Amino acid sequence: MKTRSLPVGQIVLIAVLSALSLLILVPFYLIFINSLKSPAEASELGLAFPSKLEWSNYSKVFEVADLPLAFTNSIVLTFSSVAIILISAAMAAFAIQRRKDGWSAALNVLVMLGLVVPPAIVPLYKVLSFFHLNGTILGVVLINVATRSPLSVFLANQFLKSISKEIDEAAIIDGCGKYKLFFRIVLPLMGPIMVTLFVFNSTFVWNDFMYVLYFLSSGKQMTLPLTMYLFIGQFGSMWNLVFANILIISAPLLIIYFFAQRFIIAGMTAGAIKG
Amino acid sequence: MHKLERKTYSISFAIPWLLIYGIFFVLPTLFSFYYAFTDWDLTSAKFSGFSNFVEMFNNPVFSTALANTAIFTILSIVLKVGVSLALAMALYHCIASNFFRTIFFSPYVLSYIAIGVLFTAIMHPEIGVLNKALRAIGLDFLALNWLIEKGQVIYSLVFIDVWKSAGFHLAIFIAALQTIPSDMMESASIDGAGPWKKFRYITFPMLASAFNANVIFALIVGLTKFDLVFVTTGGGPGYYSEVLKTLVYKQFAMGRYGLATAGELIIFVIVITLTVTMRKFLDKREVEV
Repeated sequence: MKTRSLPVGQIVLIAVLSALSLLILVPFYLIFINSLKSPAEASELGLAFPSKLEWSNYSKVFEVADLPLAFTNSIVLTFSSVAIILISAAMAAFAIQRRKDGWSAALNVLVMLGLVVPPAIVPLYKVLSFFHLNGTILGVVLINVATRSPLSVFLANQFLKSISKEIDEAAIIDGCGKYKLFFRIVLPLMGPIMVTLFVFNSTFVWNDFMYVLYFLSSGKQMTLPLTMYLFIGQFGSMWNLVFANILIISAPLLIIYFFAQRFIIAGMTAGAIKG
Repeated sequence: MHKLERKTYSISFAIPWLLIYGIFFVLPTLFSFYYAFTDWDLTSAKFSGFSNFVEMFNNPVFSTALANTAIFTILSIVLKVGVSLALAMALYHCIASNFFRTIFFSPYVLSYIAIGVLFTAIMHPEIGVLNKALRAIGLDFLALNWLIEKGQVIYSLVFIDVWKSAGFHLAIFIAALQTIPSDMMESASIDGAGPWKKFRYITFPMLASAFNANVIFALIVGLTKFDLVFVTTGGGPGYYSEVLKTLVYKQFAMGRYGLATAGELIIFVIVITLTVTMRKFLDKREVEV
């Protein structure tokens, strides 16, 4: 695959890339080390090792920032949005990619528009009011699905091109119905792209700040990014707790990313290349 | 199309997606063409012609936000695509490419709220790590007031966004590089092509569609940037880092829904126009390469 250069070249290359990696790793280290300091030490914002490790910072943040509630809300919001995006996008992509007629062409145009057009957020207020969904997590779930799914339909569509139609035909001849064909045969074959879409959509929804700010900014429905924003307004000078908060809200995605990262390239190979 | 096929690949598969997308994306988009021309607050919407647009264009903050959005978008496209392309070429030739790719992509999964706070600390003028490092290596003149001085703040925000997103664009380039057949490179080497010639005549043309996807993606993201600016500077100091989307949010928060919708419609027109223009330009270039 790769053109192997001289070992000397490799050493130089690795040295340069390692130096550049520090631009990423030092900020991560900064978050971690300062989350374990006393308020006074953390307020220096430095890289020094703390004189005493304050593990209790984490439990303190959970309490002060009301994280258990926000965690629950974020998990409910993220999992419902991502589940609906994955299943509805895969189904839509199946119809769009397999059919070759006016319907699929029209749907394709809608998908492409969804990739480019910025969502009209303010008028959404009107739509949510009509369904009595203002200030509810379900409302924000549906907004996330509507605005973020076009990318998933597009990528799933590209991926389906690599799954031969002959598989469908064989299943149909064996007497397989259309829903069984999709859910039992085609969907399992879409596994790799589903993992990619899971990683990307979880990242987008978990981290979403804008829709939550517009439509959930009050009370019990608050999610992690919003509580963090309010927490900084109140406790911005307690840098140790601020960094502990950053670590807590980032950890779930970092863990998912490290386990699923090899699928990211696979999904992009399917999609972005023909973009 | 075969009748059995039409039955098997039933359009009913697309209906759940179409319903949600239609109601919560298409419908509000259509609504905006009406509400942008109304004086709309919490209770009522009265038709008001072009007055929202007149107010918007006469607002000096709008020109600031427009200029900042332009600076942010242009610089972030150039830097994100440039940096990620350079990194992709380096990783392509490196035996430890998976390791470095994992590191470079990782900031992309952080939220803007986390990144905004993190960089407020890193870019602190006196005690921030960035200025301390610059002073330590004798570059005192570069130790600026990154996020709190009017002339610099928008550039600092570009830097932060490049830090977060370069790894994402890198992944797209890497995915494209993996599709280049290795015998193509080998035969070029046998024909005596040097590294630059191989890049110019094989790698770069093979990367054309990934390059285009990256530019278009960075363009749309840049024009609609909200979270990063809102949580890091709130558009400040003053209005010196205001962008279009933060201005629209502030109008929404003040209850000026009609005005905010007009602002969104302006962004809509800018995004569509520039994306279509850029797409045409890139497609033409691709044919030439």
